[in-house]
Amino acid sequence: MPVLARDRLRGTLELLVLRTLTWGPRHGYAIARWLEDSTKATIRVEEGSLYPALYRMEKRGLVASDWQTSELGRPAKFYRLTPAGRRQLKQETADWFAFVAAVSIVLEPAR
Amino acid sequence: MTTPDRESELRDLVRPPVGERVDRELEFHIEMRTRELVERGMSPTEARADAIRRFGNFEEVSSTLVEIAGQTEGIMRRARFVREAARDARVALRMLMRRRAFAALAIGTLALGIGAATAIYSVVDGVLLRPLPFSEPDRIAAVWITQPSLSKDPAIAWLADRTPMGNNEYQALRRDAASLRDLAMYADGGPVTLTTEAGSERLPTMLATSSLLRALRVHPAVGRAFVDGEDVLNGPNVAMLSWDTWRSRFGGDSSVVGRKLTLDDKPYEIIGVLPQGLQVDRATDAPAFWLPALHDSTDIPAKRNRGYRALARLAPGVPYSAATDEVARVLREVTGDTLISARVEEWQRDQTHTARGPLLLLLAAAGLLLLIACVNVAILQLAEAAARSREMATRAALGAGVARLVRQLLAESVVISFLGALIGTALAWLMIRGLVALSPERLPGMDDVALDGRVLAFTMACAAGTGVLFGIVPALLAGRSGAAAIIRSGAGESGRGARTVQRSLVAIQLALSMALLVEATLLAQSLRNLSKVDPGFQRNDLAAVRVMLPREFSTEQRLSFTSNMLQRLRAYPGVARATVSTHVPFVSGVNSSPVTVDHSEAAAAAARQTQQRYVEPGYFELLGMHLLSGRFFTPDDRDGGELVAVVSAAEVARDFGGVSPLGREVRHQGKWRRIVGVVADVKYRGLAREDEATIYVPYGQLPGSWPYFIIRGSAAAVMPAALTAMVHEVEPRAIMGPVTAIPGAIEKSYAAERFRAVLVSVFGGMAALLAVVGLYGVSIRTTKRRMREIGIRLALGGSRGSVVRLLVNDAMAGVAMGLAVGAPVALLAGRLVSPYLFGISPRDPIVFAGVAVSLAIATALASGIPARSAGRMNPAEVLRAD
Repeated sequence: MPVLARDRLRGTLELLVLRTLTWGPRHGYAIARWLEDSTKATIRVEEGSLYPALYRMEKRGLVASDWQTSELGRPAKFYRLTPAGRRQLKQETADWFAFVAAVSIVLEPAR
Repeated sequence: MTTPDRESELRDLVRPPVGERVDRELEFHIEMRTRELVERGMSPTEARADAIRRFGNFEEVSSTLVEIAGQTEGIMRRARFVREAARDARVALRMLMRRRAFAALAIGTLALGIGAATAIYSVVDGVLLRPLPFSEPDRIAAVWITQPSLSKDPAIAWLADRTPMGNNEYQALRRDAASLRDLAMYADGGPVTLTTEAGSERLPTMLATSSLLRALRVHPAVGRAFVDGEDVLNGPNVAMLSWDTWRSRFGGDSSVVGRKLTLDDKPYEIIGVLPQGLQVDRATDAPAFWLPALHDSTDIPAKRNRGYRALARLAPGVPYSAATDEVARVLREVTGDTLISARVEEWQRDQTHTARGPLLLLLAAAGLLLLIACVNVAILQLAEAAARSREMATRAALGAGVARLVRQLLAESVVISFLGALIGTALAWLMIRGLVALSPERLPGMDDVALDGRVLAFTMACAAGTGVLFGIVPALLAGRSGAAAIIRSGAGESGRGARTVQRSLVAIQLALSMALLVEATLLAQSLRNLSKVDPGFQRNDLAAVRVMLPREFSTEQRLSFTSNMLQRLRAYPGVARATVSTHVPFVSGVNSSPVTVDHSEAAAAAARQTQQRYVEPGYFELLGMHLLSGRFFTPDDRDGGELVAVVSAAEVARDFGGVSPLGREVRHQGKWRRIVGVVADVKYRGLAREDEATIYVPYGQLPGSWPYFIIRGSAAAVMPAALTAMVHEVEPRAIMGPVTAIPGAIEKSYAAERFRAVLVSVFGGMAALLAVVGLYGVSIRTTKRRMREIGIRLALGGSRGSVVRLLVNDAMAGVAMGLAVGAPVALLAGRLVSPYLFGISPRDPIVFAGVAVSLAIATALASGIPARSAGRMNPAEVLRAD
């Protein structure tokens, strides 16, 4: 079911972004870098899809943004978690582990 | 005062457009990536190319982002607006809580205005505006014959604009008028006697052609409708039940179709049940049965008997004007009468044409009251603004912009008006119940009047409108003066501009109040005039009761019944006198016949409609009518005696040029009668009506089958049970109608006028009260503001009287201006009510002067009381206080 797969992929990306922002406000590039580093590049986030995801999350009120001075000394757009985003992260994380646990039970004997 | 919202508002001002921001963000990303790649050893050009490649479809992503960002911005703007509005409302509420007296006065004032407007609007909406519950109701047309030539004859003038249809016209229009679809006729069928095992009772009916349900696009709930061939002369006796009759008398049982009914001793077959809530003629009693129209021999095509109202669907695309022209042409062809024309009008408008004027008058009065309430609150706001100038100055000095202050003032206004609307809605709910209960006229749709979504939308619109209306003036005043001026004026003195505006508002309010009060006084005076009209007979202790005898009774049977009844009635304790007649003033309907006073043929052709009454000897004496010449009827004027008549003064004036007609002959109902007496005119239908030419004929010479017994006596009102027993003793088959007290019937005849007068007077009283309370409030404020000045005057030896005079004169200048403006406005208002006035001119100088003087006295008192207390103060204290 490719549709479900794509939904899950997008959901996963959102989840990861939310998690990334728990360490404080970051700009888009930093988020992309953090995802690359922390997943040891096993999950390659296509940069072109990261920004639409960020913008949609901002529209839904999960993240907020403002322009701050970056390490280059120029203003960059920094994203931060909103209370709604924090709630969403908690919920999605729980759902994720429940999902993984369920799938694991099914797959266990095959290992 | 900066808040997150205020900051983001400011940021919006300096922020670049969405597209540019997206570009900057993405450019930043590319640049960071390029740096990273360069650090890893790529050449800058290579690195940048690689960064762009890794990003993917740059253009596509960028345009997606612009789109999403635009949506996000919209959402955030709306959210900010809601947050700010909520905060403004909270602040406004807090401010109002600090000034409870002002808030209560303002909210109460608006609640009165909005409540009254809402209540009247709900009636207007229910009766005039709400579409009828039929498919495409605006294409259902009422169809009438018009006969402009009749408008000259008062006896039949009501036919000029709306003459009902007869079978002749109906058949012709059905055949030839292509602009009408499903032309249908209906008429009040009068009550019929339903006979069941349980006994007999009288129930209302309606006559309908088979096309009526088709024209309305309505289907029977059970069974079938009438079909062509049933609505013809001597057609089959079939009946449809109303939904309510079906539920209450037949238990909602579907098997009633095919059963028999006994109506007026004739068997009828039930063929169907009408749908629930179907109302065709909304002004009469809901009929229990529908019977086919055109059954009666009086309806046969050869006769020009016109007793039906007609409606039709306009053919698709045909405008009302085209239908009117075509119907007029067909009517002229079929009747051969070139003087007649047609009226084809939207059915709902037609049904409510008599209610429209009075209702709109009431709506105008309520609207005026609402306007007065608005002005009143604006005045209160201004007076408040002066008192709050210190607060405003502080806030302006602390950096609140003028826009901010204006916005806060408007927010307070809107909060006041919505609280006013809330209480006003509750008031309206009460008022509507009162209106419906008190309304004397049976307005179509009145039963459906309620506070529904449409009405509440009107209320909310009123609230929003009034909030802005009364809030805008003080807000603009604050805005115009600017922050610096607001700070400077912090000493408590409001600007000259504000004082002028305030004085003008007081004048406007007085002018509007004067208009409404003049309107109310005119209507009240008109009602007084009406109630004092002498009906031409002694009304006290009079009562009437109608008895319905079987139609087949012969003249002898009818006469023996009436003489038997009269004998018993006259012997009844408490009954002073009793008589019998076909008509009773204010109780029965009236009818007329053509009358000729000349034997020439030309005169016969020019016969004029004359009111006719058949009366027993003793009728004139019992009513206390005045004999002008000749004699009343005597017991000798009976069946078989000489044919005689008594005529009214109006008849003498019309047909005999005022010359005594005694001994002359008059032709009535095909017989020549000798005139033996002339009586003074009496009112029959309404106290305001012109006297109509009337002929009286001895009852014994033309007895009706449904006579009225008229009784004068102390016990008249309390004997229905005894009367019923008496009637049944004399004739078991007779049916007795209700006993009506004539004084009550006379009062009921002008109940509509009373209702209007009372309602407008209540509005006028409220307006006057608001004006006086408003002015009182302003005077207190003004006096307080001028304390210092007054203190100096007193300290310098000014007398207390001069101080009071100074303050009152100041207020009275505004009052004089208001009354001067009010006079022409009141003249306009008088024009509005002039169709409803009786015996008083819409520009009656006494009414105008009286209203002006009362308002002047009331306002002088309102401004005088605070002024007097100002005059009494101790100047030393005031001067020390500041």
